[in-house]
Amino acid sequence: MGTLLYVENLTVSFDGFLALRNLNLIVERTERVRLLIGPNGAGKTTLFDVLTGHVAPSAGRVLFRDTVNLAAMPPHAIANDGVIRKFQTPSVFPGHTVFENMLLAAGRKRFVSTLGARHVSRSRDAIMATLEQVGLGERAEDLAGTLSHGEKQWLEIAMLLVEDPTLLLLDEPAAGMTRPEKERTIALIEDIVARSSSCVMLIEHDMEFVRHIARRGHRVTVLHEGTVLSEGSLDRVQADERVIEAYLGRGKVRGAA
Amino acid sequence: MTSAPGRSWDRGLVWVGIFGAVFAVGLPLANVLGYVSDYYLNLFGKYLALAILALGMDLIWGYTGILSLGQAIFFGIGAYSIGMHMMLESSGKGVYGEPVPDFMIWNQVYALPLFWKPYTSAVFAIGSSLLLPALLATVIGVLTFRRRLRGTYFAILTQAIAFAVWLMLNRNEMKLGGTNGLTDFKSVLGFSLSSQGTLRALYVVTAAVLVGSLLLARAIVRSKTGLVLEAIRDNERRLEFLGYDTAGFKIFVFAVSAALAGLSGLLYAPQVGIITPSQVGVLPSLEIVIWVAFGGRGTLWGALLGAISVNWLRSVLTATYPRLWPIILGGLFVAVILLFPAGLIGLAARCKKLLARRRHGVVAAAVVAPGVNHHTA
Repeated sequence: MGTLLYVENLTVSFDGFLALRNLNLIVERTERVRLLIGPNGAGKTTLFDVLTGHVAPSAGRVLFRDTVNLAAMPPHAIANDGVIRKFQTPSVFPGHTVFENMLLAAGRKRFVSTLGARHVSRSRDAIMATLEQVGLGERAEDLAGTLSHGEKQWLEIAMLLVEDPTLLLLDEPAAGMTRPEKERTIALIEDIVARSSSCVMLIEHDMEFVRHIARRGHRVTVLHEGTVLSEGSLDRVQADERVIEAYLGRGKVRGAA
Repeated sequence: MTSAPGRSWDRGLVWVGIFGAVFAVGLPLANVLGYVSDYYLNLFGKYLALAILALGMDLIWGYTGILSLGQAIFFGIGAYSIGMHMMLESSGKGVYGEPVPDFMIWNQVYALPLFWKPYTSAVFAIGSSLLLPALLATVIGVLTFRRRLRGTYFAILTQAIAFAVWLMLNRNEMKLGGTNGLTDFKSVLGFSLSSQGTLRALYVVTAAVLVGSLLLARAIVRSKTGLVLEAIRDNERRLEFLGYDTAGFKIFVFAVSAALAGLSGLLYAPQVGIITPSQVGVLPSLEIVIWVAFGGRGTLWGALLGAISVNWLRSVLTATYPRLWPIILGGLFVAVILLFPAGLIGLAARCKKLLARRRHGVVAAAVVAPGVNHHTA
């Protein structure tokens, strides 16, 4: 059994600024959740950018399922290979209905197969089931632009789920959410982990949120200044002197304490 | 609740039917019976041909958000293609009796240029007016969209191409009539253009082709492809992360819009009787944008409404205030952008909503009224 994700000596330079420097990271195929934390500017989102083909690395290797070289692929090909990403800010299509958003995410993406595809009901049941799962079943016909912030985030997660991803990248799924919305999001992520076989990689700043997800014994990776600072269970990571130093050095006592 | 969402088909089709009945059947019938003059029928034939051009612009700009400022080139290819065929149909019947169009004699060209020869065939001319624009658009599309050239850069590039084509057509060396263009057509497909029956038939064909183009555009817009096109307009990058290769979709819609523009030129030239470089360059391309914006972009009906109404306005106003027309046209565009960005269609929708709210408000006030005294007392 190989690795799901193998990142070796990954370096990303933006005009000389090293957003990632010699980053090494391995996610096993058996892992269900991997949490990524770290102070602002640690390179968490940049790592996601590389994994999804948004940013080309200056050096290093990124292998998905041992053989697929993500660094050499365009974004749409990576998405079709099962690496799906949710952005920090919700980016649903506001002028389309909730259902149409799902329709865009589901099914075939090749141009020719979309020409006659409006009335194909094959994906309709799957779409409605997924919408029910995130609690948006009743709002299928509303314009996505009319949803609340939290609902948009869930719609986006539903759009990712209906694609049946192998590796699901969530960038701050609870950002800007109210407390009840956060709790619902945590339940939703646990539901996803329980129901599907996809691995969820999660960036989050909210330590309460992280604690909730990580209590099941999932591994936590701490990034700092573009490289991995520490890795392991949440308790071990939090006790790590270097982690405390990194957060304290940035004046973020509240975050990791 | 697991209802089955999706837009309904039927109501829109009824409107297409009504539109077709009025313009393809009603108007020519009224002409035969003498209620509508030949002049107006011909004028409407011109408007309807231009509406096809606007439909294509709406597909690429209104729905997909790609501002193509080169649509007039494709229109020109269509118009020049059929124009060349019509010139050849009547060659030998000109003043000089030579086997080449008269304008070539003025330029001391006595043998038909090689690229003119295939246009003796009507099938070739019609095919070239549709396929040549689509082919050119595909080439431009592959060169730009595959390289991720986007937004303003694409608009500027297409505008530059339009300018270049206009410059080329103005030169006599192109053997396409220079600044005078192609004119003095005698017949089309063997039917004399001086006969009223031919012009009436051309009008009916134009109206029917417009309805067909509308149905085609609707089919595209209502398919999943249509959803993807609108999503490209709203957030192309997001769509790529969903796994779509957006370049293919953009090339497709560009080619379709070019073919529609060519079709428009094909129907326009015989009815108007002239095609010159001035209808092919940058300004006419910009004007198409104004029609669609004025009618309401991204609605198809808005494109039709905009093309017909602005061109009708032009016919009326250029007759009375020819100098003011460019200023009026520009003012119209500014007014649309500032006052009603959703165009005539959007304005109508807003009025409808306002009326509905007022009616609703009256009912609500009536219900509330009995309680009012309690609160004020």
